[in-house]
Amino acid sequence: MSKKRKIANNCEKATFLIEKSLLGPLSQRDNFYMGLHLKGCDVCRIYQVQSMGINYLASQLLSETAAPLKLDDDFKKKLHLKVNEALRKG
Amino acid sequence: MAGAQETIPFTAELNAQPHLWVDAYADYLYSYAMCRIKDEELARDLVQETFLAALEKADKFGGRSSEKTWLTAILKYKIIDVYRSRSRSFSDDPIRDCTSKGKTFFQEDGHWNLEDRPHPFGIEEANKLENKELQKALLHCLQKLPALWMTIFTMKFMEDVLAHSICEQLNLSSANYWVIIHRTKINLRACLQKNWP
Repeated sequence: MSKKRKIANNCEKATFLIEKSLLGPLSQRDNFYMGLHLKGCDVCRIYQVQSMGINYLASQLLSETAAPLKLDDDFKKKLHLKVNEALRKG
Repeated sequence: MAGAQETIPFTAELNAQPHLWVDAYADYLYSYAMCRIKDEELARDLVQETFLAALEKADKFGGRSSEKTWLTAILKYKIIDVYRSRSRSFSDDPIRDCTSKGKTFFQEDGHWNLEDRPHPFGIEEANKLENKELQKALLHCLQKLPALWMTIFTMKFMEDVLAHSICEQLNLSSANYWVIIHRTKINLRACLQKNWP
């Protein structure tokens, strides 16, 4: 079976190329094979869109969960002492 | 491996004001650490280590970035050290580790298993991606991943660390890195499809 035919029928390889394509440019050949597969595969087209969505969701996770927290005063006092001590030694 | 802080650019001028750091930045740095490593004690230790590490190099802080940015960069490298140590719970062969822990979603000929085929479940629409519950579902799915996969996903997709730096820090080949990225995403997508909404 030719490589063209193999990739055109192989969702596992196509999804691998989709992941690579979402993080950077593919080689011309891989881009061609991925496009060929996606033209004929509804399921992998859904995968591609969902995978992009997951990347976006992940990029939001840290900013969304970054609720401001406060250290307790005792810890801050100790921290002050350590910083001052290090400054004196420094 | 040499301390990652060495890569942070400094100049020889003296601009830092360490006596103000605790009041000005401790809460911010603690929040930054907590939302990434979810461990209060460790987060406090990292804030302290960040200040002490910064003090050692304070005379080299040149004001090319703000103090806050500089301290955050130091903390970020310390957090990456934590990610790296957490990821060490895998075998010497990360791909074998992936295979043994990973479900197979494809048939031998490369087609999707019927039961694992992606189908629309809501994350295809951009407006749904702002849903906080969906973000929680992704976090839940992330926590089910093997430690190495979660580390790589966090570094790449949440911290935006460059691929070659991830490979270097986790001692991975580029080929293994891509296999793990692929398997991680396949597993996360399947987990979301199963658990969402």
